[in-house]
This record gives sequence, structure tokens and C-alpha cells, in this order.
Amino acid sequence: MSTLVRTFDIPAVLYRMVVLISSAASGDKEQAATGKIDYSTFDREEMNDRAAYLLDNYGNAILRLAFSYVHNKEDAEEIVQDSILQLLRARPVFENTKHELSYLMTITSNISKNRIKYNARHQTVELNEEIATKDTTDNSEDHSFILEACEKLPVKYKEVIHLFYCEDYSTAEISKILNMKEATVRSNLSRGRDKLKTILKEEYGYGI
Amino acid sequence: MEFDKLRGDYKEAMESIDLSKDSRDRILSNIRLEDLSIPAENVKAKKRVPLFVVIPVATALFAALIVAGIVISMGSSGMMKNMSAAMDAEMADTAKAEKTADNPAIAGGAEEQDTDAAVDAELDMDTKNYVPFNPAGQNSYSMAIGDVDSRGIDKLGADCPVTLNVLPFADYKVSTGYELKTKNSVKVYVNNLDSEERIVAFLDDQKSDSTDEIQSTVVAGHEVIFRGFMGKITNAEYMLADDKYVFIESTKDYELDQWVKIVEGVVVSD
Repeated sequence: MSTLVRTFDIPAVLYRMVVLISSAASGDKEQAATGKIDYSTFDREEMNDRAAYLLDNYGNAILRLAFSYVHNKEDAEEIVQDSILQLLRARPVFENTKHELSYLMTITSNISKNRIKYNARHQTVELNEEIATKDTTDNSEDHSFILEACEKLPVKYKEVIHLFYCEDYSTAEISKILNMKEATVRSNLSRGRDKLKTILKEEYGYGI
Repeated sequence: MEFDKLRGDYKEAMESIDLSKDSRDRILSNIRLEDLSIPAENVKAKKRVPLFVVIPVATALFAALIVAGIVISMGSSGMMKNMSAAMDAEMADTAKAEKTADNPAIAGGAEEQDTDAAVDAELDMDTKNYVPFNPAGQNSYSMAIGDVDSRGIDKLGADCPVTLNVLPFADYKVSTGYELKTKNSVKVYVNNLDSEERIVAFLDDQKSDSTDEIQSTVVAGHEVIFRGFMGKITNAEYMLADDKYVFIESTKDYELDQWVKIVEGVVVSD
């Protein structure tokens, strides 16, 4: 009898069916059971909805990651837009939202690096950087110098520092996002931290 | 932990960087304006071709490439053989010419025979059986089939009684030669060594099937048909009494009066 109960766990089956039906009825392609997100099945309206979802849920994270590279909010916002567009056009399939965010972070990182190269060839960006940094750090003057100090770090250091300290990714996750070996991530993190420590101490009198 | 403070301060500094509602709406608006649609044919094109299709096709292409490579290599080796054969024939012609020139009965003891033979051979690269026997520098020359026979071409027999008198080339440095065409036919050549022009006369059993007749006229009792291209006479033909035909060709565009002289220079003895 108990075997029958386990085999035909009617309430559980019903609950699962209700979840699936409600998921399908709401048009949400993110399946409740598996969390799989298949962009290839999205129509245009669903794409727009997903873009809004991405901006609302990951907008700040990818904006900050982009800012950690370019130190210019306008550029960072453009990078956010380009990253989401690239993701939508790629029409990938994700296992879950965490996978989706990692993918978005990777795109943002790559686009940001491209933007740095682009800005290096267009010198007019330097003035904007200064203004943007000041504008965007007005509300936290006490710690804005940390961002200024990070700006002086090489890209390979500041990207791992941001993902590690701000986004709380593990070195293993960072290695996947940045497509590099975990040992390299740890090495860059250690060297970048020491370098940042030196800059903060010598230039800003910040002791850690 | 010494870096916990840094983590907190860094996060606090970064929190000031946030996506404002205006920025969010602007980005979203821009995204909505972008064309994200993928044409259906592109989607299909992106689909991977199954391996059970790829492997046989790739194998077939690879095999075709190998076969093509073999054919090309065989073709090139065949071409090399042909070139080699042509060079051998040319060398044989040269050697034969030199040998002939060394014969006083044929060459008339001229000292420039080696050079002339080489020139003749050069002029007649396409004529494998061509045998030059006229010393260069002679202003006119008559060649009869009988002369050919006397030089050992017995198989010509008495059915090839062509004599080519080189009247049009009276002022030129000439050489002559012959080529066995068929058992009862021989080509007689007259080469102008100064300009590499050539007149060829030969007998044949059949009438030409060419229809590009320019005009006809009677020369030395024969109704001669002159043929050519775009008004230029390139060859002449007339019939003998025994249903054989005499053909005369020239590499140079002569006028009709010159052609008449050429035809008159060709004598076919009975």
C-alpha cells in the first residue's frame, strides 16, 4: 500500500502539472521544472519582455562590470545595451538564470574590452571619463577614490577584483566568465589586490 | 580579514553606479527598435548537417580530389611525353637534314648546309616526314617527283609526277622539300628562308569539300579554283585528266596575278 502511495503521489503530480500549465499559460519560457531558458523559442514580444527582465534584474550588475572596465557611465550604459542585444541576437539556451547571468557577464566583459581598445584610439574619451566618474560618484564621495584607484589598475586585475569583490563570484566562476584558467584568476586577483593596496596606501592614504 | 574592509568599501562605491530609470527605459526603447528577427532561411542554414550526410559527402569529395589529382598528373606526364616526342622528332629531322646535306648528290656540295638544314628543320617542325634537299641561296628551283624517287623514295611510284618550279620566289632565298602524304600523293614545299613563307603543292585523290571559293580562272589549260578567306586567296585547286587533284597552298596572301604564276610553276608530268 505504501508502495502505491509513493508511486502515485497524486498531490505532487497535480502540483507539478499546475506549475507547468501556469508557466505555459503565462508565456514564460523559463520552465518551472528545469529552469531552462530557450531564447530560440521567443517571439519579438517575448524578446522585449526578456530584455526588460534582464535590465531589471541584471542591469546594475552588468552596468557596474562595464563601468569597472571603462570608468565612464555613458560608455557603460552603451555596453549594457550592446550586451543585451548581443544576447538576444545569439538566441542561446540556458540551463538556468545563473547560467544566463554568467553568459551576460562574459558578453559584457568582451564588449567592454573592445570599448577600451576603441577608446584608446579616440582620445576625446579622456575628458568624458573624468566627468563621468565624478558625476557617478557624487553620492559616495567617501569611497569614490577606490574606483579611481581601480581605474589605474591593468584590465586583467580590475576585472577579477570587480567580479570577486563586488559580484562575489568565486575564482572558479570568474575563470568561466572570463574564459581563463582558475589559477590565472587567482594569480591576477592576488597581484591586483597587492597593487591596489599599494595605490590606495600611497596615493590615498587608505590602509587595509 | 584585511580585505573585508576593501570589499565593503568597494561595494559601497560601486553601488553609486546604478542604472537609472531613464537609462533603463532608454536602453529598452533602443532594444525594441533594433531588428532582432532572424530570417527563417538563416535559421535553417544554421542547423547542423548530420554526420551521416557529412561523412559520405566528404569522403566522395576527397576521393574525387584524389582521382582528379591522378588524372591531372597522368595528363601532365602524357603532355610531357608528347613534348618529348616532338623534341625527339625535331632532333631526328635535324639529324636527317644534316645527313642529307652532307650528301653531295643531294646538297650540291654547299658549305652552308648545316645551317640551312637547321633552318629547314625549324620551318618544318610540324612536318615529320619533311626532307629538305635544296641548297639555300638558289634563286629558283625545280623539283620533280623523279628527283624524289632518285633519292630513295621508291614507293611514290610514277603516280606522283609533280614538279614545282619556284618562279614567284625568284628573288628570294629558298629551300624546298617534300613530304609523303599517301602512297600516291606527295607534298612539295618551297620555303622562303627570308620570310618563312611557304608554298605547298600536292596531289590528292579527292576533291576539296571547301565551299569558300573566291574565284576561278584558267591557268595553263586547267580550270583553277582559288579559295581563301575574306577575299584573300590562300589556296588553289585544279583537276587533272585522270581524276586527281592538284592543290597549292601558300602561307602568304598573294594577289591573283602572283597566284597564277605559282600555279604555272607547278608542273605535273604525265
